[in-house]
Amino acid sequence: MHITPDQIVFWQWHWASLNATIVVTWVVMIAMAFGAWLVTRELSSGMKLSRFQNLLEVIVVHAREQIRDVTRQDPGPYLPFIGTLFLFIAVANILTIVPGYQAPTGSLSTTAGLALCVFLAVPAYGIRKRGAAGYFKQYLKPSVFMLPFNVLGELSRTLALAVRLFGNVMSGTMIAAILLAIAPLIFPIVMQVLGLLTGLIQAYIFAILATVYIAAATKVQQKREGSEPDQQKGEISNG
Amino acid sequence: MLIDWFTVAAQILNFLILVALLKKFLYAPIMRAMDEREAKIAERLADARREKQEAEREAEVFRRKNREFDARREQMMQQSKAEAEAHRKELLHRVRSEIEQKKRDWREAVAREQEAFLRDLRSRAGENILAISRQALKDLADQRMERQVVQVFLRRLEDADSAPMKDFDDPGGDKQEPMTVFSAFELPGDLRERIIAGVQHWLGASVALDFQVSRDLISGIELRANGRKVAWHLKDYLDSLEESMRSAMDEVADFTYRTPARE
Repeated sequence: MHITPDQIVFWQWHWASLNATIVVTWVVMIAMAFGAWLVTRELSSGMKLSRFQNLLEVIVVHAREQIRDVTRQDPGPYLPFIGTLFLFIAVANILTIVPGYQAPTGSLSTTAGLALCVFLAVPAYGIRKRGAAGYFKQYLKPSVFMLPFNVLGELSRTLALAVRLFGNVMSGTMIAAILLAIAPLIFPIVMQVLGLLTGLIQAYIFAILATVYIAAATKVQQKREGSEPDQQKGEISNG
Repeated sequence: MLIDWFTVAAQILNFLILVALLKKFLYAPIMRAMDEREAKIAERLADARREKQEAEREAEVFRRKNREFDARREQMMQQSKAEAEAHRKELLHRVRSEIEQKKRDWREAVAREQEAFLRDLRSRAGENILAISRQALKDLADQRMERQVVQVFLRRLEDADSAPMKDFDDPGGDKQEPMTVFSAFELPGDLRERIIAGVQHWLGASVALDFQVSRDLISGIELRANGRKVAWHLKDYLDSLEESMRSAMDEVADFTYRTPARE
């Protein structure tokens, strides 16, 4: 019984270890990339399209719509980053129904990595959109004294992203394992279904929060930059 | 420690690789396909719009043609109606004039026939009257009447004194050709003598008279010499009667002929 798949180590060399998190992530990555390649190698631009192409188009279209709704900007530049966040987390969580599968999102290392990506992507997008001066000026608003709080808020929301996803997935796995020990029949299946739902919701939350952060950083006219994303985060977290 | 920083770095790298892979194999092709499809749809819509406009234009052209055709047909109908009306009127007029002509011809024919009939009737009536008169006078003629006739003749002879006297004077003077007295009956001797005396008295000279009987006279006496004559007989009356009847008939015929034409 492991809290995190990091503890399953296949190969160790000094500080570098090839653990289950990395391996499963590779498997998920290969499966996603290969599946996407399988579907998109024969794309149809006509009126008749394959079932899987239709599925992928639905996913992409809805991802774009969500991004556009939140950012009120052209979703084109954000789609690869945010869409991949959602798809990776969603696929990694859905695959928990496979027996013996260890979700990489159940590892705090993975979620921390993803949160760090968001942490870095927010200023990257912000600077690209508004310029370095324009982006960093927002940390001085509404006054210079707010700078430490703004920076703290930046760090804490990144930490919250990582811990939220980790905690949800890990707890789901733990509950399933514990229930399996207590009531081995039928009941764990219900929890598995609940775990699938939770996994999808967490994927959505992670992606939508990242979008909100990026949107806040890239909005040209901002009124309450620091508080708005936090407020939304709080609402979604409470929900 | 739940966070293995090597794993974190590896996962960041993995994630960035995944982003690149999905961008290459998922988002870009899907977006391309959707953009192409949208472009195709837009093109089809534009085509449809164009074709619709084309169809509307053609429909408009056809409608206009239809209207023109209707108008032309209406015009032709009107024209042919007018022509037919004119033709009808002309025909009617011609028929009327023909009928009028026929009527006139017929009336004229009727009038002619009427006239001919009347003329025939009148001539027959006149002939009959004459024949009856002749017959009646013939039946009535006798010796006594002859005497009366001779007396009337002699009175007339006395009345006819001027011109005929000269006419008879010359031939009478020659006394080469005897004067001829025609009568309807054989005149008895005393009447002959009275006539001879009357004539001699009339001429103031002695003349030889030749007496002959002429049945044409019906009743009466006639004195002829060198194409001249002095006479009294019923035939004269009848002739003058016939003459007056003929002139009366002509007047009536003229009237009956003209009357229908005046209507």
